[in-house]
Amino acid sequence: MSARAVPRPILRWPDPRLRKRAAPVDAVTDATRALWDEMIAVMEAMPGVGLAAPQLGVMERLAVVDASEGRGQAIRLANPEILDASRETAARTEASPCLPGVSAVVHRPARVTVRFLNEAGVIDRRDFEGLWAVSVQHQIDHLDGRMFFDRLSRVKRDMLLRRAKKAG
Amino acid sequence: MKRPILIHPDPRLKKVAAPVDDLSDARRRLAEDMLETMYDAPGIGLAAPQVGVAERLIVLDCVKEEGAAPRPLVMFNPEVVAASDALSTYEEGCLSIPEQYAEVTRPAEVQVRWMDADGAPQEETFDGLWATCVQHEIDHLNGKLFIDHLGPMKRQMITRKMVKLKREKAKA
Repeated sequence: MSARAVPRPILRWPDPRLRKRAAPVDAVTDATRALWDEMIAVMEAMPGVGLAAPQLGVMERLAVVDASEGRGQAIRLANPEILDASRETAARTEASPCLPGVSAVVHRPARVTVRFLNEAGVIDRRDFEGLWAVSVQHQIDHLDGRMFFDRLSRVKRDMLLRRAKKAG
Repeated sequence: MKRPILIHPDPRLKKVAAPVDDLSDARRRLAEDMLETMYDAPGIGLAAPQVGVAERLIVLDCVKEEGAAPRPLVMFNPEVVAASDALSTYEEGCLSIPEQYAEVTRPAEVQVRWMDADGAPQEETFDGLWATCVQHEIDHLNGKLFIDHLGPMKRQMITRKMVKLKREKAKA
C-alpha cells in the first residue's frame, strides 16, 4: 500500500472545474473513505467548516462538514440532496478557500434536512441547523458547480469578484 | 421523550415488523425515546412495535450491577445468526404484559448481527441475561410475545388478566 504524500491543492477560482456538476458516486468504497479523510485533513488545515470534492479537483458528489465547537465531529456525505428546507432564512458571512481574501453575507434557509449516503454506505437523513446548515448547503452548491457568490445580487457579486481579483 | 407502551392484547404486537433500509435523525430520535421509555419503566429491553412502530428496531441494556456503567444498545434489523445447543431457563416478563412472569427456555448463547445507529454492521455473541433479552426483543419484531412460548392454558390466563387490566385502565 502507498499513501499520497502531498494532499491535493485547493482549486482557485475561476478554475472551470468549480463550475461543473460533480457526478454521483455508485457506492461508498475504501477509495471514497480515503478521499473523505483527505478532505477532512484539508478542511482541518484551513481550518474550515466544510469541503466539497470538486474543490480538490475530484468531480464526485462527496462532501465533509464539521461545524462542531470542539471540531472532530465531521460528517461524511456522498450524493447529498436537500429534502426539506425551512421557510425561515438566516444570514451569515460566507467565504471559500477557492477565492481567498473575500467574503459576503449570504441568505439561506435556516434549517435543512439532507439525504445522503453515509460513511457506512447506508442512506441517512440528517437535520442541520445553524452553521451546520450553512455549510452543508454551501458544499451542495459546490457539487452543482455553484459558488456562494452566485447567491448574491448581480451588483454585489461583481463587486466581490473585482475585490477578489485585487486580493489574488 | 417518553412514549406510551402498548399493552397486550393489541393487534400491533402481533405483526411482523418491516426491515429498516435507511437511517434518519427521526429514527435515531425514536431509538433515544425508546431507551428513555425503557429506563423509565424500568425495563432491560424494548422493541419498536411496543411503542406502536412496526419497524425492526430494538434497544436493550441488561447491566444490572449497582453502580456499573450503563450499556445502551440500539439494534436495527437484529438477527440471530447462530444459537447454542445449550439452553437456559429464565423467568421473563414484558413491559407490554405488566406484572406477569413465567419461565421461558431459550438457547443460552446467541450470536447476533445488526446495524447500529450510524448504519455500520455489528456482530456480537451474548450469553446470560443479554442472550435471553435480545431473543425476547427479536421475538417482538416477529409478532411474538414471551407468552407464546408457554402452554395455551397459561397464555390464556395471562391474556384474560391483561384484558381485565386494560378495561380497568380505560375506566380510570
